[in-house]
Amino acid sequence: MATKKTIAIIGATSRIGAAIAKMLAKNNYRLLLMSRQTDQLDIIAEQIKKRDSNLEIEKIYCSTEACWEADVIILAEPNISTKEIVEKIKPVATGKIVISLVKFFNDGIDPVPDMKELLPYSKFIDVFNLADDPGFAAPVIDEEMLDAFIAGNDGIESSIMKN
Amino acid sequence: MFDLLFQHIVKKASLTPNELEFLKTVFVPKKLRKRQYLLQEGEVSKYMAFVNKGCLRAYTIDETGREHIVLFAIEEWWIGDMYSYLSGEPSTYNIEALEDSELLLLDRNGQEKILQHIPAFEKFQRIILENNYIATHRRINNMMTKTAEEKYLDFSSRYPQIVQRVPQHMIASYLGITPETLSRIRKQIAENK
Repeated sequence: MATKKTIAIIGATSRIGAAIAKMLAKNNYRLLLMSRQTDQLDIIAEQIKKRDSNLEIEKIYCSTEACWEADVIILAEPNISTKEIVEKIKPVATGKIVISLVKFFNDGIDPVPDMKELLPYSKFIDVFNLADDPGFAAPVIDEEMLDAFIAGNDGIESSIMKN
Repeated sequence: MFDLLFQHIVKKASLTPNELEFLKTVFVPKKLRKRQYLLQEGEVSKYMAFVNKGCLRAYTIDETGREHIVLFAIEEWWIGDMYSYLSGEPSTYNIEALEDSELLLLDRNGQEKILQHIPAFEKFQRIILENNYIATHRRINNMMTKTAEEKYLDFSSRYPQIVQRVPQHMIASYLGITPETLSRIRKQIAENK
């Protein structure tokens, strides 16, 4: 029996962070949802727990703490804060899988191009395209959006499973 | 975060400051909450863990469902299933945090990297293994030849911090005696004082 992996989602209140959290909640992971927007975080955590109260979902307000406990780190913060966050979590991200979704905040243009260099001792995974679906820019993430998201997103799942 | 590990290493082998810095690029910092698992039976042990803070136990479960504690680990100790780690075979151990803990994890690749870069690390490893051998041999000998009371006295004089931090029934499990026997022994010791 494999020990449950702990996945930290940094920026869990962003559209893409919340979407990823909801997707991952369907599988057997312990999720640490990190955001400084406490009200939004409460809402998202409630939404996820409502589906299945057995899920291990926790709200964390400090990115360092979240990454320290995590086995896998998902960066879903919009571009401006990402570089600061990366500097902050660097000491506790050594040897861990780091998945960056930062590209999706910026129409595919990587705002922090040297991210891999900022985290040289982490196993860095860049996600290039989720679903090749311009509809992904839709303002609302609902059930249908999530399905399209998952269909194009096996890459994230399999990287997490493989490692 | 690395102070205790560095102190622990330089007590046994001389590493330069640069070499110590290199270790920071290899060890994985991992926080575990109380009751979380580092390893479960059936998994291959990927890591050996250095305990920076906290307390953990490694135990096996027999066919009747009873737990047998193989070892405890507190600050500055290592824990892991060395057999599974070296052989790549599934572990028979479960390793659980008894307190919120901070660990520094080392995997095989990391270990190889360190050995390539830092020749003195080999000496450190050798001393750790020697100490491990002595402790293991002592434990086997105690288990086979000592009375319950002698086992407890040996354990509590050697590792008083563990006796303070770990529930009594777990100490009994580790020593291979029943909790009732341990209770009786401790009472006798207190009365004899």
